[in-house]
Amino acid sequence: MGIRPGVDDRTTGVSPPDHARIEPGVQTDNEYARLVVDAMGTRFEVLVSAARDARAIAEEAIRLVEGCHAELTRFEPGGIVWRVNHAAGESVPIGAEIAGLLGRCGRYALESGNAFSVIRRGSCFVPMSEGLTISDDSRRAGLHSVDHQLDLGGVAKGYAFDLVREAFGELPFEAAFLHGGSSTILGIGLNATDYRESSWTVEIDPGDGSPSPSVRLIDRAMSVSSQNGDRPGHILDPRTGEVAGGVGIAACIGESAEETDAWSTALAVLGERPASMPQRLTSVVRSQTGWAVVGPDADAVGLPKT
Amino acid sequence: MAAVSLVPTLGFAGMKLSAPVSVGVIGLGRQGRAIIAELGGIEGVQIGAICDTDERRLRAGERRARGAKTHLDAGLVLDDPSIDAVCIATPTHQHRELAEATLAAGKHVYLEAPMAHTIEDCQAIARAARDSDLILQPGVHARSDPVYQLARSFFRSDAVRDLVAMSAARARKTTWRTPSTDPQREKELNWRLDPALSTGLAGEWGTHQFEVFHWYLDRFPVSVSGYGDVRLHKDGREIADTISCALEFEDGARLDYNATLANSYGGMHELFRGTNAAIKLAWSHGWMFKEADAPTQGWEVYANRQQFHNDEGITLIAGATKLAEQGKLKEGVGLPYTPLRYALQDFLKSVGEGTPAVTSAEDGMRATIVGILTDKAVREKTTISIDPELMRA
Repeated sequence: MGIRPGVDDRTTGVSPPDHARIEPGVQTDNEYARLVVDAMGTRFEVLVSAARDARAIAEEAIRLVEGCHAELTRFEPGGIVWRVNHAAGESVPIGAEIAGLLGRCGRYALESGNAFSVIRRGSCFVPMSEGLTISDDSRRAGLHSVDHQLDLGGVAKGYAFDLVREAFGELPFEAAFLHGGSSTILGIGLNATDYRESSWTVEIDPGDGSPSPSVRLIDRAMSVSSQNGDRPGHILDPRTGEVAGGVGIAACIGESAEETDAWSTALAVLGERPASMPQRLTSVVRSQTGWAVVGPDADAVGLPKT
Repeated sequence: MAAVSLVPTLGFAGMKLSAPVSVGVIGLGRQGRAIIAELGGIEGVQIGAICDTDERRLRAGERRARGAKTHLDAGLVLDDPSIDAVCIATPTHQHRELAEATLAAGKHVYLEAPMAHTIEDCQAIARAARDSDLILQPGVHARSDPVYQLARSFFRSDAVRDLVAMSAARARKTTWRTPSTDPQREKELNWRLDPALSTGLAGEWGTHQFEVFHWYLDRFPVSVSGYGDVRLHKDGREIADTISCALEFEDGARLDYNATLANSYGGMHELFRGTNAAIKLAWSHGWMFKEADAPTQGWEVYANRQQFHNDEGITLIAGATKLAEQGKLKEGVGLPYTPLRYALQDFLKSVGEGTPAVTSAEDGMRATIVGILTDKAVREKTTISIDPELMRA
């Protein structure tokens, strides 16, 4: 399941991850840095190409990922998610950033008809409104009962990548490629406007041996959710509490990695693109009749020939 | 050897100030943004204004501080009568001017550490704080950190017994460099690599850790030896990326301090070795390693056993009886908030209640001066005597 990152661009000089495809003989004067960190229960890779200070730029991304891990993990004390989950049903103060994140999660839930949620009850997700209350002034958040748990794992990687993208705005990089657990990726830079000239190329691996669609990205995030792969059946439908029966695999492409994270999960649950999905997002969904690609970046998706 | 984890009893709902406090934040780099994030989670705090000379950082800060006024000029924060207190998170060499101006404007100050890049500036800031009726709390966190408070109670209760050695370290593989698209801006951002402005690893990092030893021992080093070199980041920098120092106290006790930007192993920690036990502190966690011949103490009855490296140890959690009744002993390990949060809470509590700062300006001054002199010893690869007069308030 997931994404096979690949780089076949000849102009950036960014070296690829070990498992990516690249033609030999690429020459560049650019510095290149590749840093890896384990966070949020998965492995993050950061690739940066820059005329100078590539490592320092990549370090900034790593710092932000680690910061998000500390704040958003359910499993270690010190972060807001842990505090909410250990407050015995009482509300706890939250800052503006977390309030904003929870507010947006509420919007994703609403738009997707509760196919997306960040609230668990036991091992199942339940609709957000059934388990979490945010105060009117957005300064406190609390769970409805000790049985509920806040789990931001569905958006945390994307949230971190959005922060990286913001931070990179003031850094002198040429191109950067990030992925978290190969299910959330961000390809930025390249100084290109047409994906046919220069782009990050990734493949969506269905995980069942069938041919892979390829996606060419310029300044875009992409997230993939799949019932296949290492943890079959791990996507649960918050509306029913059951294993989602929608589709085997779904991907979402857009500017915000947080948003593509949320919507890739929702698409996998729903099995098809709903009318309520924001038009700015591109959906890639495999249904029983084949792949369906809808959205502004549809031209960047190359479907396998049938 | 038995490992005892030192964990205080803590609530998760956070502190609520008795009276609202309006805070300004000057300097919106990484630390300034961290301060904003922590302040946003404290009830009763209104971030009234934020300031940075960089427009982009100001806009990024604006998104994180709801309703705050935004300024490119720090003077506008100081002139704002609605602001009660100011957190200063600018580069170290800018601290003195801003701290003195903030106090002169009648506002309380939370000043990031190290307090300054010169001894003269440190003393000037401490004098300005002493001559005012206002709070100036330096941003060294140990005295506000519940783990360090609890560990100190054990340290002072003779659990360690005779102190034989001390060490501290901080390690992170990082360039310490901040790139920018603008060369002038890049020079400004990389003040930590500027020999004229930086206090090096000993000052920027060590200051925070030296203060722990000052507080625990109630005394200060009388000399420091240092050595440092650029071991990894050979990019033309002069500031050592790896240092090794020895700080000696009057009674012969010695603190070994190592810091590096070339390797991450070990992170940030302090270690006290005694004849009965050792205490290791790592900001959100603390452990006690008891010797086999150390007497058993009452609190160990409530301790939770755990595997710690190659030894089976016991975990101590303050309030363990209550947590054990709830079946939550393991959940008590680790702090629910960052050390920065506890320091800011103490500062705001002092501001709101008019009580002295938990960490005084003099405490920060002493730690910073030791950091500056240690950096000097590192640069000169020599031994420097520390005049006790410098440690006086």
